[in-house]
Amino acid sequence: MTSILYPRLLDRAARELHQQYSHATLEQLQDRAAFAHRSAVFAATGGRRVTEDELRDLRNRIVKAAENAGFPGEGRRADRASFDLEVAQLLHERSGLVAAEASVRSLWAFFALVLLPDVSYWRYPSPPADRVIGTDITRHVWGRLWWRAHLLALPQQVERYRLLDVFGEAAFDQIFARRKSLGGSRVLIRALAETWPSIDRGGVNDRQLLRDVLKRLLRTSVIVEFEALDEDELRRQVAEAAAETVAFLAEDTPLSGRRHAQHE
Amino acid sequence: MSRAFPFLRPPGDVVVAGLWSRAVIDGTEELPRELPDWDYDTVLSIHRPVQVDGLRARRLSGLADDAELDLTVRWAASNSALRGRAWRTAVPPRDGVELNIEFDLDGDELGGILEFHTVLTLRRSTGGASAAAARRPGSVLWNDKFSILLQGDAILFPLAIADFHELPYPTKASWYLEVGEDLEAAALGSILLLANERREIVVKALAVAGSPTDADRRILSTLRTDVQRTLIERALTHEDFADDVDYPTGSLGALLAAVLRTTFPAFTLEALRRERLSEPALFTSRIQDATNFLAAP
Repeated sequence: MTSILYPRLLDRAARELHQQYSHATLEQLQDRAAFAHRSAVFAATGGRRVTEDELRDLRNRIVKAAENAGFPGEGRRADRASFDLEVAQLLHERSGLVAAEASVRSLWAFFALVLLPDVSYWRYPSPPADRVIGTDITRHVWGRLWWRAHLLALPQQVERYRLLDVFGEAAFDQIFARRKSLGGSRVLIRALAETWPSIDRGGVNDRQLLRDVLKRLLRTSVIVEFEALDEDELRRQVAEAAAETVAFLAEDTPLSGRRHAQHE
Repeated sequence: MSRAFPFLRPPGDVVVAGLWSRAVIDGTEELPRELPDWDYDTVLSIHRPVQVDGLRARRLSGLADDAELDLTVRWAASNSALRGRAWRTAVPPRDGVELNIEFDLDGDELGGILEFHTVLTLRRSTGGASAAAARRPGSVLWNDKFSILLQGDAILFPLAIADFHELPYPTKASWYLEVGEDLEAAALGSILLLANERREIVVKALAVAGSPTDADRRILSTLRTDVQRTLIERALTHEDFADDVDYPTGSLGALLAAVLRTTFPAFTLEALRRERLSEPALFTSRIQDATNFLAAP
C-alpha cells in the first residue's frame, strides 16, 4: 500500500501552539483549525502527499463524531469512550497511513494542533503536552487511537474492527505501553483480545489481571517464539497465562475484595 | 544479553544458515547491512538457504524422533516497533534437510532497523521425550538474528526540503536538524533534516547524493559533519542522556550513544562534556577529525 504522507509539525511550532491553545476557548480553537501550517513540512519518503480535500474530509468526519458525543459540550464519559472507538476505526480506515509513517510523532502533532485543535482540547481539556505534541504516541490524543485500531484490526474484511472495544482505554494503555516488548506483536495482542472476554476472573479485577498476564507473557517470550505459533495454540497459551494469574492473585484477594472487584 | 533456557537445546551446528540475499532487477545480491534506496513502497524479496539436521536437532534436544519442529523467520522493525511472521515451514526428522527461506516483505510496517530472526521451534512434543526437553509449543531450540538499516538515504535521516522563510529558522541557513527529546522514541521518527530550498546547491547535492560530483561531495561532507556535530551536542547537552543506559534498539538514545561511541571511542561522556565547555575550538576540530571533514574521496 502506498502511504499517504501527512505534514509534520516542527517541534518548536508545536510547543508554541500548545502554549497558546492551553489558554484558548473552544470557539477560538475552532477558528484556528487549518489544513496547512507554515511550520509543517512533508518528508521526502515514499508515498504521496495528502490533499487538502482529504484533510477536510477527515476533519469533517471527526468533528461529526465528536458532535455525536456532545462536542462542544462536555458530554458523558461513556460518549467519549465510544467517540474514541469510532475515531480509531475512522482514522485507521480513511487516513491511508502505514505503520511506519504513523510512528512519526510530529505528524500527530499536526493532527492535534493544526487540523483538529478544537476537538483535541475538547477530548482532553487542559491536556499535558504529550497528549497533543506527540512526545509519546502511546499518550497522544489521535496517535494512540490509530495504533489501537492497527494492533487490534483483524486481517479479514468482515468485522475487521470487532476487537476494538474489548479493552477499555486504561487496559489498552497497559498493552500499548509495552509496545516495544509485547505490544508490537499483532497476533499476540489479537489472541489476548479474543481470549479476554472468556477468562474466568475468579474475582480478580481486570487491571491486576491484565498487568500480571502481560508480565507472564513477557517472561515467556524470552524462551517461546509467539510468532511461530498457530492462532489456536497462541490463544491457548494466553488463556493458560490468564489462568495462572487468576490462581496466583485469587490467593491474595480476600473474599470481600473479590466481590468488590466483580463490580468494577 | 544471553538467555537461560529451562530446557535442553541442541548445539548450534544443527542449523547451518547461509547468507541472506534479496532479489534485484538483474538477479540477486547479498543483503547489505544498509538499504539506502528503501522507502515504504519498496517490497523486499528475501532469500536464505538453510540446512537443518532435523533428526539430530530432536535427539540432542531430548525430544522424540516424531516431535514436530518448525523453522520460522520473524521480522521486527524499530520504527514501528512492530513484528510479525515472515515465513514458516515444518522441519522433517531427517539430517541434512535443505530449506529455502523465501518471502516478500511490504514496506508498510517497516522502517529504521529491520531485524530478521530465524528460529527453530518446537511445534508439538510427543511421548518418549526426556524430562529436560522442551514441552511448550514455540520453545526456541535455535535462533539467529540479522539486522539491516533501512531508509539509510545518504544522510541516514528523513529529509524535508522547505523554504526557511516559512519556518521559524534563520532564512539564509542551509539546513536544520530537528532532534526530538524523548531518548526512548524511535530515532527515525524523532529526527528530521530540513534543507532550505533557497540554498539550491545544497538541495542539488542531496538529490544526487548517490553519485555526487566533487563539488556535491564537499557539500555533503560539510552536511554530514554538521549533522554529526548536532547529534553529539544533543547527547552532551541532554541532561537525561547517560552512556551507561541500555536504550531500546533503534531509539534516539541508542543512536546518540552509537554516534558518540563511533566518533569518540576513546573518550568518556564526562570528558567530552568538559572539553566542549572548556575548549570549544578544540572540540570542534576533534569532530572534524573524527568525521573526515572535507577529506578527499
